[in-house]
Amino acid sequence: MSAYGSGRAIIEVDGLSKHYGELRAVDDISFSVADGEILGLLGHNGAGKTTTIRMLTGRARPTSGRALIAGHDVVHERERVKPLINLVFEEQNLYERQSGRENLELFVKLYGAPPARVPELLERVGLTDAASRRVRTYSSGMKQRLLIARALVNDPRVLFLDEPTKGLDPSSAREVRSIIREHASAGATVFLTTHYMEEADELCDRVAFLAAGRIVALDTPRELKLRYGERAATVLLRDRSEHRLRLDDCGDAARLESWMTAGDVLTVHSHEGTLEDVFVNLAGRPL
Amino acid sequence: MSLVRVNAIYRKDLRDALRDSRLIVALLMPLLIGLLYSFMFKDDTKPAARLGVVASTSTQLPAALQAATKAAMQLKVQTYADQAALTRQVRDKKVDVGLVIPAGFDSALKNGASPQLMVILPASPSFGGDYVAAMLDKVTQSLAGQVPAATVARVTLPAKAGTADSAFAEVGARKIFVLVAVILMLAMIAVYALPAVLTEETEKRTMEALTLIASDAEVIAAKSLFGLTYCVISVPIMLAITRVIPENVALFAVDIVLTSITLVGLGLLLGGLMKTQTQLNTWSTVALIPMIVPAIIVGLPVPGWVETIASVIPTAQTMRLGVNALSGRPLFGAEWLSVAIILAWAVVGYGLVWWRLTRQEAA
Repeated sequence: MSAYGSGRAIIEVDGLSKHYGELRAVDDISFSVADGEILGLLGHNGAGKTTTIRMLTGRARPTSGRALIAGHDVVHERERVKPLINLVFEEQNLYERQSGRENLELFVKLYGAPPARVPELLERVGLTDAASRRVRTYSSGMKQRLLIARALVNDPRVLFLDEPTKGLDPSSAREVRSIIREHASAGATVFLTTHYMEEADELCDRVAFLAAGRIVALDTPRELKLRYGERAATVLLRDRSEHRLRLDDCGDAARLESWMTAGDVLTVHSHEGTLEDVFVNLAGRPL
Repeated sequence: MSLVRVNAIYRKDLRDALRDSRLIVALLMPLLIGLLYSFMFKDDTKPAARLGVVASTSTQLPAALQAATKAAMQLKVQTYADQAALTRQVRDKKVDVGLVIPAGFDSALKNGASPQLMVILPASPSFGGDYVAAMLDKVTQSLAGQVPAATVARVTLPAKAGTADSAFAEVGARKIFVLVAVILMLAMIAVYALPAVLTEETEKRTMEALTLIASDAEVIAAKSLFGLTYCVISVPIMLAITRVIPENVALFAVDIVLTSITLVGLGLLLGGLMKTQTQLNTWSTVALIPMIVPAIIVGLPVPGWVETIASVIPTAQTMRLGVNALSGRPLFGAEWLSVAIILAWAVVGYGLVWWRLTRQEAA
């Protein structure tokens, strides 16, 4: 996790909504993200995660409410916001007939970044050797790393990532998470959506749960787990029987006490609730 | 608008086009059609015929036939050693008509004799072969010193200006068809190549990556430049490989540049409407027809209402201006009207593109 805590909000969202006819894709959400923080947005498909990112990156106009990035309105001051942000899209939307280097060179020119940024980023995402190859020959993991390199060309103050590890093998996903963490540790703010609870738990300073377009919970993973997760313990007795006890349950607590008094307990393993548990409690079904 | 960004996107599109087989085919196909037309048709506006002759002594007959048919055709004469060789050439249609002229033919005519002249025609004679055979009586009478029964005054009326006849008569079929191929090429760029680039950007969502920093106007400006470059490069290639040089180069250049600007605008509109390559493949074929047909029927005897509709289509005006430029004469008058109609379509095309962009930004 990054060491955020300046308290100064770089993203401020107030009553943001996006309606498509009768459908309320995003419904009156409000939150803020501090400078240098990593915020994860979790939710089912269709919960409004991508729509929220589309509005924050100026690609969809809100039906109501407003969002500010570094104090600039994302709708009315879009040209001021553009150089401050970048986005790793959910789709691997690269120019496949062009090489990795040519893809980066294009965006370096578009953002007005120095040309030296291209080899630097290729090195950072481990694509220097493949830089001259056309992107269509890349593996999915290589494309994802190139997408991240493209999103870093302007060294954005706010980096949005829409499902950055979706469909990647564990090794590639780990590399991608490492790059994200590295960027955040340099002081940038990261706003990501993901389906992977462990990823959110590992990367994010705070997590927001989105259900049917509304934020149903927003806090640090630890607080959410403490508040909504189930605290439990697995007890192994001398007779080799195993029992799962809920620590909030008075009956289970009394059973544990009696086993302890009788000296029947061999081991006790406590379990902290997971974000998955929190999500099931809040949204009614797992991701 | 940042010119640096426009240039970066434009250069990316050019590089991508060279690696995109679909765009290369879209350029090559009209070029090959133009080349094919160039081989199939000749610049000569008069038909040509070939006369094969076997003559053991000197004779004035072939020269007299050339003189007699000069107004209607170009008669080329080839001599052969014997009748068998000539018969083979006629059978193989290497010559349109063969003549076996006996020794002392000219002097025999002058002495009032009736020497035998053998005419060899293929099973299905060409117009040239029939015409030469039909002229033999008149020519031999003349060589015999006989006075014609009547003096025939031949008057050829000029073709009516603004018709296909006048265009073919002045410019020749080859150049007309090369001009059609040029218009086909510009139309292919407009309804296929340019929309294909735009549709691919939309379908693969690279457009969204571009517009994270570039404005819609910058992207559209870059795509327009790309389309215009495609047109401006491909037309001279077509003219070079078909060796067609307009009589009025300046008018031809104006015609091509204005048409390119207009069709690129319409191509941007089409590309903006298509969401997938499959949609584009379907609709581009449909869109090609109203662009090409009006150009082809320019000057042809079609019903008035068809001519009226066709005359408001920009490619029909491209054809009219193009024929004027190729001939160096105002065969299809009112060039200012042609320019105005093409420009009006440019205004409509770019206006609609702009309207779509502003609607898109408001969504």
